[in-house]
Amino acid sequence: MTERMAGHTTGNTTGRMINKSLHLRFGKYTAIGRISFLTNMAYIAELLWRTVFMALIIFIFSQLWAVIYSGTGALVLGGLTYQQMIWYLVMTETIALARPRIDALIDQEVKNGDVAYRLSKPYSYLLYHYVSYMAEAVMRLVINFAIGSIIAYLTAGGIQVSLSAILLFLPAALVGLSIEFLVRACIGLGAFWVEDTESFLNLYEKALFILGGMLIPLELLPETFRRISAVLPMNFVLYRPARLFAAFDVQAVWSMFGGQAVWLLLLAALCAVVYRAGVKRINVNGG
Amino acid sequence: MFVNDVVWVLFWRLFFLRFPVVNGWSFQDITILWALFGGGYGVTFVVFGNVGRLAGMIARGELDHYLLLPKNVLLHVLVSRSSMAAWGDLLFGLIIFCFAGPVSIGKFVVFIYGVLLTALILTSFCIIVGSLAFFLGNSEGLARQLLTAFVTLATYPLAIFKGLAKFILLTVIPAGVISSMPLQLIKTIDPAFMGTATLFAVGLFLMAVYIFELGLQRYESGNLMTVQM
Repeated sequence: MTERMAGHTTGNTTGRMINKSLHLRFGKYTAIGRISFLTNMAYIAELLWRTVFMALIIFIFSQLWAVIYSGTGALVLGGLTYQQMIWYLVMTETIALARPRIDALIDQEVKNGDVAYRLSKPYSYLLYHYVSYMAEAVMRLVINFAIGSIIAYLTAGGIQVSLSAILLFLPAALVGLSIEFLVRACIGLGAFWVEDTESFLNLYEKALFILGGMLIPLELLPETFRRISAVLPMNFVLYRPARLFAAFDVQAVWSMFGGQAVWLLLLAALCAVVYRAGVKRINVNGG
Repeated sequence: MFVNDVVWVLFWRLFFLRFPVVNGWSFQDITILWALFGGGYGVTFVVFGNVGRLAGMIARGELDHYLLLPKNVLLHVLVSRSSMAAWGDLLFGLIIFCFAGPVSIGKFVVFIYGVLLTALILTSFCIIVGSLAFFLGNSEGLARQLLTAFVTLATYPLAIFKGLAKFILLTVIPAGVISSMPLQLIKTIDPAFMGTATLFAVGLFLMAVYIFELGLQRYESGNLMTVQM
């Protein structure tokens, strides 16, 4: 009995120590995320203002797809009805417009030397940026999702969406945004070696635009483009989460999350390698 | 920007491979539209590089320097900057037009005329939305949104819009005049359209100058110390 009590007490102490250690390790990131979220809350009017562009794109494409569906006489194109097509578009735009420009921030910090200042802080440089990026992205995602859904409902009407589709879309979109963060972080860290990383981002953005299925689902692209897209991470950022929402398919869930996990790991490893190689190039000269 | 324009044309190529005709529009027509708009956008921002920054300059009181000189204020403000990236759009417009079907000297002349009309309409629109800052205060965000809307709407076939949307595109946000050009100015040279489009562009420009001059009377100096490079 005494032994059991002693074991229980030791277990409690160990548990408290683990809790304290976890709190010390991750509590700071929660605080960073909270600060970033509250900072962005101050600019909520600007975030709402940005959805005007989303409304414009959805309006144009609702007109374009209406002409296509009526012109071809097809009820389903690429596996999607007209209503599903518009909701697909809304979801790709919801994610695409939720992405903060973290690459530009990292690029600037590398160029003006702020990265050296951050190295002395008791947090991981990349995790710091990831948490503040996600806090902003989540806020934008929720706003875009709410306003985009209203626009889609007004332009094309409602679609039958299962609770599973809604519940799975949000984590899929968040993982997609995490993949996006890693790509952008790698591009921003490129400033350790090249003067202008903007051109790399432009190339990535254009690839995402076509191969990520931003405006048209991948099913409607030629076979070659579909094959190229299948081996690149872009389709896991926009196409797959949006498709899951617009036309839910249980079979696609596991392949989507599996693919996202693989890309997340690969890009995280790449990002860590690029960061370590870049940090070695920093020269701090007092001051 | 050259790469951006190329990717858009690639997007439309893929779209038209799947749907060859959209309300009478083919891939060739959309290519001509992008050639016209790329060229017009290029001319506008190469020659009048400050036209997209007008609202911000007015709101920050940066016109003082121009008001002190014996030159036309609007023209001086607009030509004080040139965009390097816009050279890419201009080059793209000229190149892609040569790939958009058979080109004759006559067609090329009409195309250049279309590019200049596009530039005049775009410049006038930018002056109008930029001048809103005289009346509304800091309207830089609004001006940027309106310019983005104009650029976006001008690069889609007018044939997909109908009713009120089409009316707005031919009046309030006159992007529809530009997106009408491939079919009515380049493919079949319609003199009536050419005359109407010219009158519209000139009228819009005169209106833009009038609004700017009207707004200039309400301008308040920012007392800024600036260096002109």
